[in-house]
Amino acid sequence: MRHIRAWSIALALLVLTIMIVVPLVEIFIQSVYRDGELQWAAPLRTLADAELIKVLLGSIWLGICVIAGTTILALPLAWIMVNTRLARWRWLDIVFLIPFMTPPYIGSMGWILFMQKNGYLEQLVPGLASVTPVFFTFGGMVTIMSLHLFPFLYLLLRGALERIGGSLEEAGAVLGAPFTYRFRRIIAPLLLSAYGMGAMLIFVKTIAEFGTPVTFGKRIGYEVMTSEIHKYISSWPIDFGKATSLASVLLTACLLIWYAQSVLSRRFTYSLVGGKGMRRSSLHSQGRGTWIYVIFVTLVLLLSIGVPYFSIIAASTMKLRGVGLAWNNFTQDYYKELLTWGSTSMRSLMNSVLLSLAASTIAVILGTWFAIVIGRSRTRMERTTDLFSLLPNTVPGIVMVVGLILLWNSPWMPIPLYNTYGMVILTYIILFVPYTVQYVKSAFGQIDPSLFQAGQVFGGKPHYVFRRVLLPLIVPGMMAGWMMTFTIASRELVGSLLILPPSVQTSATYIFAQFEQGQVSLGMAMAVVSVGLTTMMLVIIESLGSKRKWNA
Amino acid sequence: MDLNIRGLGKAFGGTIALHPTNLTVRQGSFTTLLGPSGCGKTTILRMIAGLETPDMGTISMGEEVIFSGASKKVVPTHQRGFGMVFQDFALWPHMTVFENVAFGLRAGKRTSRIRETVMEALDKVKLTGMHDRYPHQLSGGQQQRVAFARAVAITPRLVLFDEPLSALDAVLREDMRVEMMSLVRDLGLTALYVTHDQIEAMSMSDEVVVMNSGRILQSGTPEEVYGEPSDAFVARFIGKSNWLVPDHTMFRPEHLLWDRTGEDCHSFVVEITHVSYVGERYEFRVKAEAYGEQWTAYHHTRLAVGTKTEVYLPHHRLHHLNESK
Repeated sequence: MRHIRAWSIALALLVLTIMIVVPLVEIFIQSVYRDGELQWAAPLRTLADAELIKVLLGSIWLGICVIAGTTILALPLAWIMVNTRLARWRWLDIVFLIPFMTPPYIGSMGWILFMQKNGYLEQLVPGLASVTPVFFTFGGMVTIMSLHLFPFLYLLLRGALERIGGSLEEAGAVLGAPFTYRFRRIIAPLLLSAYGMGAMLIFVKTIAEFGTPVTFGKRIGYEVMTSEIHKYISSWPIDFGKATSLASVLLTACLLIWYAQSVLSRRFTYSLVGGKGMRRSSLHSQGRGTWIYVIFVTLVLLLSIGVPYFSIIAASTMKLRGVGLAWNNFTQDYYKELLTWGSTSMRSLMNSVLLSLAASTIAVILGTWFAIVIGRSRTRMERTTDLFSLLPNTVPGIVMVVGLILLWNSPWMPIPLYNTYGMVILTYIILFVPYTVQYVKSAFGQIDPSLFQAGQVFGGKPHYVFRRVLLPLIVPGMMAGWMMTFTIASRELVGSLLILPPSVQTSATYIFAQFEQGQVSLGMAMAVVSVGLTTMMLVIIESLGSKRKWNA
Repeated sequence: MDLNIRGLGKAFGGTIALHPTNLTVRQGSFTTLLGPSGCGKTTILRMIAGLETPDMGTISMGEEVIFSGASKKVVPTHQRGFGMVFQDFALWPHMTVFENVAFGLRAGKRTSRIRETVMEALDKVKLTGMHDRYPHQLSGGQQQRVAFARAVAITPRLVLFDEPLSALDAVLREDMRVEMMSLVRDLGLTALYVTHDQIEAMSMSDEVVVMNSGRILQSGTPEEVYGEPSDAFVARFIGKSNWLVPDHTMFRPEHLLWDRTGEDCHSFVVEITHVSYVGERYEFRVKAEAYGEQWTAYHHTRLAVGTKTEVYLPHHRLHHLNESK
C-alpha cells in the first residue's frame, strides 16, 4: 500500500511537470534563446524597447486603477451586507457573483454596445449623447474591469468584516471605546490585512485578464501585456521573441505577487479564535437610512449585471440596428439562424459543448487523483504536487497558452498533437484542472482520518475503503469541479483563439469573430445561448442537491 | 452600587427570549445565571452590556438609569463602564497581550500609570513576562487569563462573564474556576456570571438564579436552590432528585439512609436494579414498591442487584414543592 502511494505521487509529479511546468519553463528558455544561440540579454533588450515599457506600465497602471475601482464598489457593499438590514437578504450574495461568472469579453461587448455612438444609452436618453464618447477612454476600461472583478474583493471583505463585527468589536465597546476609537484600533487594522490580500489578488487578476483588453482596450488603443502578447503571436508580423519576453515578464510578475501574497497572508492573517456561531452585533443595527443602501445595491447590480445583459439581449433580438429599441423591431430570427443544424454557429456551439465535456471529464479524473495525492500536504512531495497543480490558476491564461504552443509546436516534439482537437482539450484541462483540485482537496480535508481507519478495522481492503468511504465523500467536490470546468471551458476565449486548428470555431471564438466583423446580432445571440446554457446547467445541478457553497 | 433590573423583556422576531424579568445583583456579590441553552440568560447579560436592546423595562446601576424602555433612554455600551469576559475570549489578534489589556484604559483616556496598571493586572493572572506576546502564541488557558485581565484592568463597577470556561477542556476548566473565583473575591468585584454548568454555578456563586425558557424560576444561595427548590425544573436541573409524588414531593439521594436512626423516618422497601461504582461510593438505582419512579441512592459497599431491603428517610428531608412556593 505504501509503495503504491509513493509511485502514485511520483507519477502525478511527472504528469504535472510535463503538462504544466515544462511549458512555463519553455517560455523562459525561448525568451533567452534567440536565433539558435543563447542570448541572456535578449529579454532585457526587448524590454528596453520604449513601446514595450509603455505596455508594461500600462498594465501596472490599469491594475492599480482597478484596485481603486473595485474598492469603491466592494467596500461599501461588504459593509452594507454585514451591518445593515440588507444583511438578511442572503440571496444577494449569489446575485453578486453573476458579474464575476460572466465572461469578461461578453461583458465588455455589452458595454461597448451600450455606450457606443447610437448605442442603447443614446437611444434611451438622447441627452447623454455628448457624454458617451468619454466612456471610450481608460476610465471606461477601468470601470468595466472593476464591475467584473469586484465580487471577488467583496467576498473577502465581507468575510473579514463578519469575523471582526462579532465579539471583537463588542469587546471594544464594553471596555469603553466609542465607535471612532473602535474603528481606528480594531476594525481598520484587521480589515486592512484582508484588504491588502484582496487588492494584490485583484491586481494579478487585472494584469492577467485578456477578454476586456482585447475587446474594449483594442478599441480605445490602450495596450496591456496580455493584448500585446496576443498581437505578437496571432497577427502579422509574428514575433515570438517579443511575445515570450513579455510572457516571461508577466509570468514573473504574477508569481512574485502570488508569493508575496502568500507570505504576507501567513504572517498577517490572524486565525481568529472561533467560538460558537457568529452572532450579528446589534451595535449598528439601526433601521435608519435603509433606502440609501438599497439604492446603492441596486445601482451596483444595474451597472454590473443590468447594462451588459440588457445590451447583449437587445442586440440579439433586433431586426435592424438602425431602427433601434422598439417593440416592432423585435425578432427571434437570429436565434433560429444560430441554432439551425449544420450552420457554422451550430457547429461552433457543438464544438464548445463537446470539447468542454471531454476536457471537464478528464480534468475531474486527473484533478481528483492530484487532490488525493496531495492529501493533507504534509510532505515536501505532496506540497510540490499541490503547488504545481494550482499553477495554472496563478499564471495568466495567455501565458500558459503561449507555453503550450512553444512546447507542442516545437520541431522536436514527437507527439503530433498540435493543430488537433486533442490539443484544445489538453489546453482546457491544464487551464482548469485547479478547480477540481481545490474542490476535491477541501472535501478531502474535511474527512477525518479515523473514517478510513474505521474502514480498515472493519476489514475493508484498500480499494474497498476507497470505493465505499472515500469516493462517496469526495463526489460532491468532484461534481463541483466538473461543473466549474465545463462552464468555464465552454466560454473560454484565449486558449480557443490561439490553439484551435484552422477553420475550427467554438462559441467563444464565434462570438469574438462576429463582433469584430460587425455581425453583432448573431454574435450576441450566441453569447446569450452559451451563457444561458451554462447557467441553466449550474442551476439544474445545484437544485439536484449538491449543497456546496459558492466560492470564487 | 447594586444593579437593578425591572420588567426587562425581549423578543427576537416572534419568539420571546425573555419574559418581563426582575433581578438584582448586589454590590460585591457573585451572581450566576444558570439554565439550559436558549433559556435567555445570555440575552440578559448582553442587554446589561448594551449589546442587545431590550423591548421594555429598566436597567439601573445604583441611581443611574442605563436603560429605560419607558423614557427611551439608552446609555451606549461604551459609556456603561462594565468589564466583560467573552465566551470566545474575543482577544484582538493584531494586538499584543499588553495592548489588549491596556485597550480599555486608553479608550477611557486613563493613560497615567498605564504600564503599572496593566502589569499589575497581568501579574494577578500569573502572566508576568507575557506582555509582548500575541494571542495566537498563547494556550487556551492563557488566553482566558488575558481576557480576564482585560476585563478587570479598567476597575469596572460590574464584570460580566459569558460562559467563559466553556471553550476550555475539562481539567483546565476546573483549575480556572477556582482561580477565577478567588480573583473575583480578592479584587472585591461585582460579578454576573452566565453558565449552563451547575457545578460552576454552585461552587462559585453567592447567589444562583435558575432560568428556563425566558423566565427566572428561582434565585437564592446555592444551598437554597439545591435544598429547597421551588420548581420541579429546578429540582431536576440541579443535582439528582428522587420523587415520591412527581413534580410535588421529592428528596435528595444522599438523605436516603440504610439504617434506622433516632429521627422520625419514613420507611420504604426497595429493590436494587442497577449498581455502579464511581470511586468514592456506589451509586444504586432502586425501585420502591408502590412508587412509580426509580430513585438514586448511595452506599459505601457493594450490594447485589435484586437485593430487597428497607430504607429510611427522615421526615424533615422530604421537600414539598408547592408548600414552599
